[in-house]
Amino acid sequence: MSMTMERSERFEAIYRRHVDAVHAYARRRAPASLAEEVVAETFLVCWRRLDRVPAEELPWLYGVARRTLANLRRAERRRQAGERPLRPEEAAPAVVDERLRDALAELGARDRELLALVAWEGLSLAEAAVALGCSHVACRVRFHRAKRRLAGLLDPDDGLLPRPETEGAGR
Amino acid sequence: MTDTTMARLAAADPLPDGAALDEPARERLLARAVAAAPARRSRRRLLAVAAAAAAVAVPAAAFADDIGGFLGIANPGTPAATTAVAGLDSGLAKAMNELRFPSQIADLGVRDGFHFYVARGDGGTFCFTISAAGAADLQHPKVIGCAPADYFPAETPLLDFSTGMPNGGFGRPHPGDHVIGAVHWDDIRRLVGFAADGVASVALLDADGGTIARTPVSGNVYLDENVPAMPAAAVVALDAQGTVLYRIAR
Repeated sequence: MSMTMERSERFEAIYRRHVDAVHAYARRRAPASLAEEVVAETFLVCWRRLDRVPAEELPWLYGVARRTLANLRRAERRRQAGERPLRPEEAAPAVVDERLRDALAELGARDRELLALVAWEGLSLAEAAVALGCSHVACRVRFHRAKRRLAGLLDPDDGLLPRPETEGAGR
Repeated sequence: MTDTTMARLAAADPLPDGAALDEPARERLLARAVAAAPARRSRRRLLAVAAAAAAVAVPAAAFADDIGGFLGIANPGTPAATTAVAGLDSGLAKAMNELRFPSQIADLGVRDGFHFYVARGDGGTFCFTISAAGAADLQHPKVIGCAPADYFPAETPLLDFSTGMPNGGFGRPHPGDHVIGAVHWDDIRRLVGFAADGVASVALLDADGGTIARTPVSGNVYLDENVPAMPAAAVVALDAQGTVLYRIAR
């Protein structure tokens, strides 16, 4: 079999293996119409950079999808004025747990993404590091900090965040 | 405690069952991803299409110097140096190298600026490329691939690339073959391909069997760049009497 065919077959195999996961990733974070854009753009990048796709294909694809989504959102914001509002079925699904949603909103985008990759996409920290483009060690440190901060935001009495009275103890 | 936090976050997954795409959406997005690639590369990169994957255990030496002796093709073509054909197109040169094109290939003819080349590839495979005339002309789409050595088998007298990509590339040779490239029956822009001896013309038909376009085969090749934009249902090979010899159906 030729190299050209191997390349084509490899791409199609990656696509078929991961397209649903990439779509779910995008759909968790974006409206349906944008999610399809993310999928198409992500696999276009995959096709272009096929030689550089690592063995951990899915985390790498998540990383591409994350950057693609950020770019598309920027473009979306620029042309949003005057457009019709999204119908409910088109909108990104929201976290129902209101308190959790508010707490997540308090986190930085990168921390929020890291926690979501682990909790929703089921990635290990090593895989999440690939998706986020950081070292495993840095990712692990960031994860534990983010998790602790989220816990503190959800329950200030859980002892993992400095409590107000602790902060004021030295006064 | 924080594991509880992660459990709570996991339980709040807005799409706990994922978001599987239906088959049409999968194919559509695959087509978009692939179809966009050549256009965004200013068409410099090669759209590589391989006709079939069947390995044929024929010694390459058996076909040495036999660049014109193809099954079912009377046109011997004009010998040309592979390096000259690839010329300045590094994408084409790379693909030729990957497919192990021999040093000499046969030019079956030129139609509307496109040359139709064939060669015996590694293992006796039937290798082909359709590319624009002029080594420096990088503006046109092109196709390259290798089919089994038994091309053209009697039951398959066409190697057709008409059902190709709407943005300028050529498409897969036959439905069902494993190639990258979507079949766009609703947006066929050209009739193009190789035909075995005995095929006098190739036609594009609509769902009712009406002829959308028909082009003569000359020197075992055909090209019509003026296909009306209509949804198509079949590509057919016709003999001189108009009898359908072969049909690629939607």
